[in-house]
Amino acid sequence: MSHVAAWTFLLFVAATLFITAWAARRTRSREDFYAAGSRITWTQNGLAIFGDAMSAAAFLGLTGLFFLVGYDGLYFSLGLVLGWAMMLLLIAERLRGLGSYTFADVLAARLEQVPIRKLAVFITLAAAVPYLIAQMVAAGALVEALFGLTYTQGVLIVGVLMTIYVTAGGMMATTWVQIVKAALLLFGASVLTLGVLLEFGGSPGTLFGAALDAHPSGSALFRPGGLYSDPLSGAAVLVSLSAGTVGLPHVLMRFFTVPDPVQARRSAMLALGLVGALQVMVLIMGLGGAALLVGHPEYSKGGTSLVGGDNMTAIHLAHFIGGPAFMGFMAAVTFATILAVVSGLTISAAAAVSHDFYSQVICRGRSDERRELVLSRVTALALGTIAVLLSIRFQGVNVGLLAVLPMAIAASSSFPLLILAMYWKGLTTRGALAGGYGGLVASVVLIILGPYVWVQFLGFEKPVFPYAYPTLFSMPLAFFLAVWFSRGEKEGSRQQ
Amino acid sequence: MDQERLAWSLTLALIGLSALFIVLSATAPDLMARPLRAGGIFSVGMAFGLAIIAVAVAAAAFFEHHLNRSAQSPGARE
Repeated sequence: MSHVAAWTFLLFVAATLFITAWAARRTRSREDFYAAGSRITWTQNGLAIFGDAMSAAAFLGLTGLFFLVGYDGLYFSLGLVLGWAMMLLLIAERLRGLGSYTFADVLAARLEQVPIRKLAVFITLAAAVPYLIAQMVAAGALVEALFGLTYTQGVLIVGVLMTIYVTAGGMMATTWVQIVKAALLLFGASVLTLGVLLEFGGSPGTLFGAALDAHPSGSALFRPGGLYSDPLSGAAVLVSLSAGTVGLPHVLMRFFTVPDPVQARRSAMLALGLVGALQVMVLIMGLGGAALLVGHPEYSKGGTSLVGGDNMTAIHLAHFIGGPAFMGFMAAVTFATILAVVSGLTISAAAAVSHDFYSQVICRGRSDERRELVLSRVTALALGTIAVLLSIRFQGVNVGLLAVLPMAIAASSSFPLLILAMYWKGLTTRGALAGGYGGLVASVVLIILGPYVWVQFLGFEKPVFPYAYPTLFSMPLAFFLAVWFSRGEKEGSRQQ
Repeated sequence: MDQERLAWSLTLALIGLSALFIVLSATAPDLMARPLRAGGIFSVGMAFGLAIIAVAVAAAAFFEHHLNRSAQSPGARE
């Protein structure tokens, strides 16, 4: 198996480096580096966005979740789908119309430049850096399990390749890496889904029956409550993932790579269609895992406890359906997925530093283009180095927290600000700052008091705040603060 | 209907469906766990969840179709 995995992966690396060399020759201006010269078509961008939405954590994690608990996985699927629907209906077109490189452009278009850009830099870094580390830790663990390399080697491979893509090829390379990976992932997931269905004569009904028969939970697999026994946790996941999807800076940045607002909207539509289709595939794969892997001595240590954990459901399933070769292919695709997502995160963070901070805050919009581009590349290099060092330090640590953080921050700061800036004329700079910082701080504090940090890291018995996702509280708080302070400022200026 | 109103109507409808899914899952798990058809196994709640995904994609297609048509014939907007 390691042969196919290694060859598929090496082929992917060769292809992406070739793309990067081609993109590097076409990346000369700011416009090229941040937005691929706005020369990406909506079909290409739709695929790239779908690639960003379906990280390795989303793909492997969600398949594992449907395998383990069935029904409650729907909260995650529905959150993603609802998020993409909002992106298409409310955000994509206006975002492209109002901005040019980052989401902060949209806010700065109608609010005070300097304080708003600073806030945007905080939001982008707070969302991108933890996410980057979570992905690299996952990559290290995956490489260890599947390719026979060490954890540190895996982290280094990801760090080095990602830095090359971003510094040399900018957004053009980053987009094409994501497109290639998205096509591979769609192909792999489709074959796997079809393979599972064919095992049961092509009948979903037979598959569901077999899943319920084999799974220890039995018919409870199709009943709410497998993962969350309290009513609010499911809601918290759904709200976090939907609003978080809309607010993630590295995803928003993709909409500036197409030539006009209509193409931005169409790329969101394509992404929604693909994300929706993948949710159905992930459900079938998860239940296929329940039907085929439970009790199979090669994959299961007994019941639903899989060799390598439930994140391995899709990989084991690939082995069952297509043997070692297909499993190697899927493993390589997963690794490529991580690589593509971290590249997008890095370029969003680099753009926040060089465009939002250096060019707009320090130079007040009159920066030297060459210097700005050097700075963005240096930032990408520095981020790559920091991420590699921190990921090596975090080996073996449960990084679930680091994946919760970006979604919560995006849902409680950039999401409310974008919605208000686009659809509420009353928003003022003070209101935006109060809402943005309020939501940012509230989500971080509530996560620290929640089950991940308070119990798992600090070792207390019970969390002060019971939910992993703080969004149900931090997002309304951000909206409230933004509206309250905007109104206050308006009234204050009227009295003067 | 203009684009902004249509967009918000569709968004609120999808949020409403998701909220209904959450409320029913929390307050009426027996209803959501009931087989869709007598003697079947696939539950009402699972079917409802998948239906919301299908509705979201259909709403997107409708939205896009509507906008493309009104873009082709500007008079149709009024």
